[in-house]
Amino acid sequence: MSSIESAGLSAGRVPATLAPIEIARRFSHRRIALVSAALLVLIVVLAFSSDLWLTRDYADQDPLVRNQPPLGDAGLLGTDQLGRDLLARLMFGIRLSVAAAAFGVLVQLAVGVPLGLLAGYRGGWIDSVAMRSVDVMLAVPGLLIALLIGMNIKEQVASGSGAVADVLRSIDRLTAGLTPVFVVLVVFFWVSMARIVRGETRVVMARDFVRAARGLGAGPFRIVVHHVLRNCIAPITVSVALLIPVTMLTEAAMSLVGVGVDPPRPSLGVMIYEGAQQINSFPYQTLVPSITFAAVVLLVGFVGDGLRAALDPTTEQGR
Amino acid sequence: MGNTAPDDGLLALQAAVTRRRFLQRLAMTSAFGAASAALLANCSSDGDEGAPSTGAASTDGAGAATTSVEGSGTLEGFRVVGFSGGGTGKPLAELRIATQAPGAIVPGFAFDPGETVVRRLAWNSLVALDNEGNPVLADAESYTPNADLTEHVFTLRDGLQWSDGTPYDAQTYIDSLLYRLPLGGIFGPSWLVGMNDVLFNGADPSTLGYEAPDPKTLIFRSTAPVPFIERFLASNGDFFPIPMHLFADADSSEVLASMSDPANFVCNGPYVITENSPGSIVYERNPRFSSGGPAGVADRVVTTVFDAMRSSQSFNAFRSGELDVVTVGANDIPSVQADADLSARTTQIVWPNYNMVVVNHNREPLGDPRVRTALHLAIDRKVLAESVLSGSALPMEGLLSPGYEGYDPDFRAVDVADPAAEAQRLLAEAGFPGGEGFPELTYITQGDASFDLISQTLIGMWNDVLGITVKLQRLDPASWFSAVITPEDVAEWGDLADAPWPAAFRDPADTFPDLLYFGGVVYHHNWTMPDDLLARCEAALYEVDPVVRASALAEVNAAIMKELPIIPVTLLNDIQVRREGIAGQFAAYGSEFYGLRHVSAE
Amino acid sequence: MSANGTIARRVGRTGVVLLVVYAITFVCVRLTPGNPFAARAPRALSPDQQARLERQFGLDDPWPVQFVRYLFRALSGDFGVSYAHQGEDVVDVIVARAWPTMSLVGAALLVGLVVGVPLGVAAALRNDSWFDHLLSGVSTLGVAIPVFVATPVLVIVLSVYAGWLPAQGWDGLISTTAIIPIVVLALEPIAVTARFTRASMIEVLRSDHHRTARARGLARRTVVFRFALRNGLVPVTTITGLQVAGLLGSVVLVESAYNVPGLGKEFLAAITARDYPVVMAATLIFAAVIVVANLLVDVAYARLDPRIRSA
Repeated sequence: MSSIESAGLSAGRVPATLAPIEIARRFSHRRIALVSAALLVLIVVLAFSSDLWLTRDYADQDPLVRNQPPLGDAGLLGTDQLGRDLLARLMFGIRLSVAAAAFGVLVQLAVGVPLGLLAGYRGGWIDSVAMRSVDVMLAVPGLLIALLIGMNIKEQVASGSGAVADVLRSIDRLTAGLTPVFVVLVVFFWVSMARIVRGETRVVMARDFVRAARGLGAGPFRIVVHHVLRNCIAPITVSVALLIPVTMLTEAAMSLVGVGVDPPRPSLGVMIYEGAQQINSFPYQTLVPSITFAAVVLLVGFVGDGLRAALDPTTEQGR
Repeated sequence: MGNTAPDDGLLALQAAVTRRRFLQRLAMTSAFGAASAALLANCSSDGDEGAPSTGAASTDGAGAATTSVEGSGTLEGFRVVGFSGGGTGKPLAELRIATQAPGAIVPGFAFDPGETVVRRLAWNSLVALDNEGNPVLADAESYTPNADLTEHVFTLRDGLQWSDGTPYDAQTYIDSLLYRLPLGGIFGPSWLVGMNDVLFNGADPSTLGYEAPDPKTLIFRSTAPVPFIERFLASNGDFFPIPMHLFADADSSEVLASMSDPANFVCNGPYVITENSPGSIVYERNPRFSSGGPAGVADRVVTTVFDAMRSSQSFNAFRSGELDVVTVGANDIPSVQADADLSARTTQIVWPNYNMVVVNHNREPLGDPRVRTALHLAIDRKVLAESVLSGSALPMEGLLSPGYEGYDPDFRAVDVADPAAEAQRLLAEAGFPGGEGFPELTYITQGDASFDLISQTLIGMWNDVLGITVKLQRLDPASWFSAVITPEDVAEWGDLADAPWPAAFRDPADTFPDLLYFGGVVYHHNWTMPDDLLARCEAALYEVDPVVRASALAEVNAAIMKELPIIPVTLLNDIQVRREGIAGQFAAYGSEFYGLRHVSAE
Repeated sequence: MSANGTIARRVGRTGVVLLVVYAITFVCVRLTPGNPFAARAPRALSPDQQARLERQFGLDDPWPVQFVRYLFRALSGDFGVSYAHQGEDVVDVIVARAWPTMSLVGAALLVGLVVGVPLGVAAALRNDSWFDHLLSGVSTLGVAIPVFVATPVLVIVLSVYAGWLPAQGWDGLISTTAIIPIVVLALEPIAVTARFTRASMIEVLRSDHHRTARARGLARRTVVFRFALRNGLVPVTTITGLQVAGLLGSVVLVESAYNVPGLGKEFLAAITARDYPVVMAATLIFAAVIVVANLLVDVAYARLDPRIRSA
């Protein structure tokens, strides 16, 4: 479910490496990407500091001010069907969606990258097992299996007994109810990264300078860190940027089928879905979170484009 | 689940299991909702009456609602409040309605909203429901009970035949029941002589008090007086006949599969199925209709299958002209109110369906009646029903639904001037002033928009009034079912949960026992009804004299509600809109009390 | 190794992949709480009746036994009888619903190519222009609008207010009912195809071959359409295959949102009803479509790309 966008990345080209400072310099020259990154930071800071500057909590209900339109007396974005402040909910929703996205990144980096490195570096049966697992994961109808996994976890958290249920329950408390989403991310989101990194690793390993380094007695750790990983930075960065929107969409889709976070907590996905129930009578309730979601995805996309250009030495500078 | 019920509680247990399927479906599909003052004001020219609709057909019915509530002393009182019957009776070429996918198109093999629609249109039993929702004889031409209502003799019409021309008689009825018994689909009724033995002790089915002494006569014998047997038979699929000439020597799956092809479909109702696809079922008149009861006004009925009734999806299909009548969900009622044209073509149907909150008395501090009462009093039902649910629900406080003898819309479980203050006082008295020290409770709810609305509103109100924290846990309906209805540990399943309840469903004698005997057979509140109350309850349920029955039920209801074993919240109130040129209404869901056959031209 | 040998090996591997997917589904389905017979029976069951039904359907056997039985029956084309649709064979249930789903997915892929490729080529030819950036933004949005918002918005505008299209349902691929679901479903393929076409074309246009061709004085139009496009579209083939998996996920949501009686909607209903045989069969079909699509892409890729053919 996650591999679509990144599949074309491992086309086998190995860009020459650029120094991090050079990458930063090149990135800073791309105005759209820079502005997008700044806006993203602003949104995230606003969302995570919203307790400081908002007077209402996301769960505070007020039956007297239900379904108030945006820009009215009832706050900047109006209220929902239970009279809750949509701005407060939006800010909290962004937090949860950012948390899901961050966890998706973590899964890619902490699971996908090492697995890809290991498979690519060692080859042999490890590589076979890893790549056949990738094949299987690519063939699994993701949303459907995600739904089943989500149902299981929610039921365990709600009424399971035993050690597993207890562990899940404490995770659920820590993750503000995102456990099913996190588990699904762990199950699916290592796949494309492992594939990409493994491909790059194999290409790098075959190159002369790595052979030379090995001949000179460099250990595996040194080779992986100094040569392989450095060459993988570009595809890894681009893949991460591309998968962030997919992570957020996954969270939204799971909310849609009822295995996302529990009410009254909002994520962007929950808000879009809850609002969509009201779309005939109060369309703003789904349009506000939808536009926010689209904007975040757009900004992440621009940053990703900028990074890709900055990391690829063959692109011309300018702009 | 069975192990919680002592032997003599078998009746209750068994009655209870008959409900589960229904509950599950209800859990998945229903929206709960109420007569909103706002909607009434908008939609009704004579709002004082409480008549929500301006349709010629429905004004009477809604008015009758109020009367039947007040004069609840008759069996008529069991009639659904607000039922307004079926239009003008003028013929209608085609009727397009929303339905859900039926689990089976033959009665007694599945029970769900889709199946009920098929049953209402294509099948007939001894009794059917008329325009007013009252039982009228269909396959039977006469019904004669004995004096104490324990022996019920039905005489069948002459010339009964299936839609393929094959005749059938009383023996077909008996055979149909016996054929389906071993398939695991028949569960009651508990009052039928021998039924409990057959179901639970493996007794010979021929010992049942259900006999056909000759081809024209069917006799039911009951262990108690059953004044409601006609209504029971009109709505219970188990006692519908099935074409035994097809089933007798065949595997039921194969016959069912073959009948899903319209060319092989055989039935005995006023309509036959002429098209059957996953998205739609089309009915046309049965040229060999030989039974009695209402024959339907429309010549052709097109049902479109939706995932859920009362969804924006079906409402938009109605607005774009693809459906003639549709039930509007709480979320879309504001759109109806905003449209004068639509408001003028609105009907209100009050359902004998509750949403309640089941409370696990085993979990401290919920065993303390003061805490339960505080939870009960902290709910502002008027705000929930009229404002949050836009009038798609009515506030409810007791176990008796409208239509039940003894129902009183003004009944209050705890009658105090300032419920919120009283709730706070009780919670403080129980040792949690201002909610301090109160443990965090868990509320298990179902993944459905309307349940979300209700449960979120409740936890908001509890938090506002009592200062306590309740955590929602939303499960998909089947998981909710296994967590709340069939948990591994009945005593410790959790704290609170949704408890949708089809009061007065099928067999009015079952409601109190199902809910309340022996720690709650369906919802595990783990409260045991005191023996004296139990005795009064049974006496009231099987009382034949309607006046005595009504007052006895009202007293029992009040006595039970003092303990608040379960907290009633709202009662379903469907808001239905219809296309210009259409009169009458149809049931979006369940149809137990509504004639689908009664929509007509204006 | 010969190309045929490689393909044969891939087919074998595909079988193994499907087997593992089937096993994963089996475990996931069985772990999921809830009782199929609560949904299957007219009413729910006493413990005795529950036990009897489990015996009847072989659900009381140990899981491995059940799995092997499922597997062998499935191999012979017998997927059992649906629990939720009384008496209906799972194969009938699936066949009756597969056509809308597969035609929606196929049409969305086609629309994705027909609209996405020209957009991508145009953007590549005007690299870094305002058109390029606009397209980049719009194509990102195509991915970012959830189908359960896009569908009702289109329904309200085009059906309820304009009255041009039906608000729900399915009358076949060549009917007005197909327009809204195909448009919603095609948003993502259009966006992804356009983006990959653009990237791939830019690369080709920058390549030495291309420069040489231009230097030899061939017209830009000829070069672009005769040489660049042909080479540039090779990676697009890959991405088209990979999109099948994503589309089979989205189509579930689109069918639900537009009330299309297809496999996706049936899958959600089957999960809700714990209709194990239907869930298992539907997952297998979905996985098979994904795997076969990828296999076809590999074959096509091998035929299209001269580098691979010669390697």
